[in-house]
Amino acid sequence: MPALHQDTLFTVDGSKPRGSVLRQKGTIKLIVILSGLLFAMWGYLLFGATLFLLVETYVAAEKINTSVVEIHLERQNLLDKLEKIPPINVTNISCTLNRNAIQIEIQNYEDFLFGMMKKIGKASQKHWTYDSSLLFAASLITTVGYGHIYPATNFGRLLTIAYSCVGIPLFLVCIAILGTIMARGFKAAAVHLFGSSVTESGVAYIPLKVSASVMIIYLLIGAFLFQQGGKWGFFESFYFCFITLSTIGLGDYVYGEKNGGKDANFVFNVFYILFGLSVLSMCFNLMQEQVTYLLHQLIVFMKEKVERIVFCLTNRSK
Amino acid sequence: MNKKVGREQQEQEARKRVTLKKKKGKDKDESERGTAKLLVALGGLLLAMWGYVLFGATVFVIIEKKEKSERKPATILEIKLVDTLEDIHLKHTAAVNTSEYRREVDKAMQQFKDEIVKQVESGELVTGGDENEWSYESSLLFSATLVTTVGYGNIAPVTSPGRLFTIAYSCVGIPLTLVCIAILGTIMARGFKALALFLFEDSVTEEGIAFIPIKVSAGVMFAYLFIGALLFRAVEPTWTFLEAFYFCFITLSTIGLGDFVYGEGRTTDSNFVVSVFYLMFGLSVLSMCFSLMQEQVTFLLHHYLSLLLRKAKQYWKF
Repeated sequence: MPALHQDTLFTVDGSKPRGSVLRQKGTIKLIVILSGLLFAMWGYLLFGATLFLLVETYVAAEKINTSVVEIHLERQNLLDKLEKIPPINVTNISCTLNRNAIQIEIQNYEDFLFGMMKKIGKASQKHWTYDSSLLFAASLITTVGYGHIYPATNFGRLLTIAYSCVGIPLFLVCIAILGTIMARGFKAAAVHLFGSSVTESGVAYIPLKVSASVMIIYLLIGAFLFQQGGKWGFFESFYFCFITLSTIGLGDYVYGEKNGGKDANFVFNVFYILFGLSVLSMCFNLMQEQVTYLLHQLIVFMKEKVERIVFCLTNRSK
Repeated sequence: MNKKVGREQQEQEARKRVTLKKKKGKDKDESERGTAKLLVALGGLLLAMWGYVLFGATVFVIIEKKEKSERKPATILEIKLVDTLEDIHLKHTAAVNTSEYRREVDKAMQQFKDEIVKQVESGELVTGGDENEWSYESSLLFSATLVTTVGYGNIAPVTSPGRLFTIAYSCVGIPLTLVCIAILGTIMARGFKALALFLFEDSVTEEGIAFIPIKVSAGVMFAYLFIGALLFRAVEPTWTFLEAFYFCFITLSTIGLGDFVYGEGRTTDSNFVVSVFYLMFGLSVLSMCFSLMQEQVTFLLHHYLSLLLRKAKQYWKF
């Protein structure tokens, strides 16, 4: 039989509803726990935003100063190297520089610059605002991890690790409970609207198509909202929503970035992620029940087939 | 007489075995049957998963490799710098090593650096060794970061068909990987518990089920991170141990910020494949630890909540 955590909404013969959603297996208990957890999660996000902002703008400032010195030193090195390159076409009157060799040295210097910029570029103070820091904290606990900014110091990195160790489980628990509650609500609504046509042996089953559609609709809504009046195409916006909600979070598109200094959009991004992941959790909840049920049916079916074949074979060999 | 004693002994032992079985629960029988089923399913899934990642890598190489000519602008800046250096050289042909010569060269290079920084920050320039950007190995890592949702973002598709394929590819790949890793984790958890039972007998059991303390599970996770850090530190000399540890953590938590990516900027791409193996196996180990910790947490929560409830009831009786 399907998993034990099925919520039976109906009595066994499928006729009468057993009771409202609220009376079901401690929904109220769950809601109380959830409220507490959500409160804790938001508090944790805000705390994290402040913490990272402080660390990266004060502590990192040190690191940036030292890196300026490093760049300066590297430039001196380059100068020395360039001087060592012997000129070509030396005649009594003139000599020309070895352009190719010089260009190669310049390219090495370039790579060094790129490396430096990678390490500290996203730590400069103009990147770390409260809103971008909030998105950073959210990207950690949701594991989306855009990488739109990241810590430049080892202390910042240690903090990131510690923060995530607590934040990720906290978030996962929140989302799991939220998803369960939303799933119950969804099923209750379905039952209320469509009666017993969605039930089977007393349990409501939401077809996979429906759960999948809910997810797609949420993506489409986001795609529509994030177009920013043409800054992103519809497809790019959709791509961003998908990469975000799947928690892949490549970071090639980040809503709120490069928005002319107006950082409010980072916060909107955070909300979209948090709510979206709850919706996803609900859909996965619903789909998982359905898939388990279907798989079980499939296995039973195949078992019967195999048994029949074996029986035929053994009987024939007699 | 001996036979009788022998038979009695046998019966006693049989009874002990039965009670032991009852103690260890139907759980043990079920788990043995279940484990065999799981192993078969797992074998198939692992094959599918690896095949899928390889397939993705091939497709991404085909779709995205055409776009490698994006880096031209940097060459323009380089040539400009070389021209400037030539001009300076001509100006000072007589006395090449004067301080004024050095000053002018230094100024030219500073301008070059500022221009590079500006263009990188505005996104006009693409950093890194783009010649091999979409090599087979880096595409392999990219596919792996999609299906595991790590999503470094060190490379990302820039073409529309590339993005479309990313979405479709992830829709199938993520559930596939999740299921695979979950099953792998379950099997490893059972193996781990069996090992613990074998080594420490009944001291780890309670009501017939082995409970691995949270400390132990956490210890295993930490050990995997630590070993990974040592490994990566050894083969990537530009990283400190802390940075390597940070990289392992950010990768295995699937946050994947992308500030550190093992194998980036090297000419031999075989390193990317190491990352993929570390990631995949690490996620299974993580799954195993979460499985073990979850049981423990559920048990403890239940235990303490019922304790609390009992105390509360006693209190209210007054």
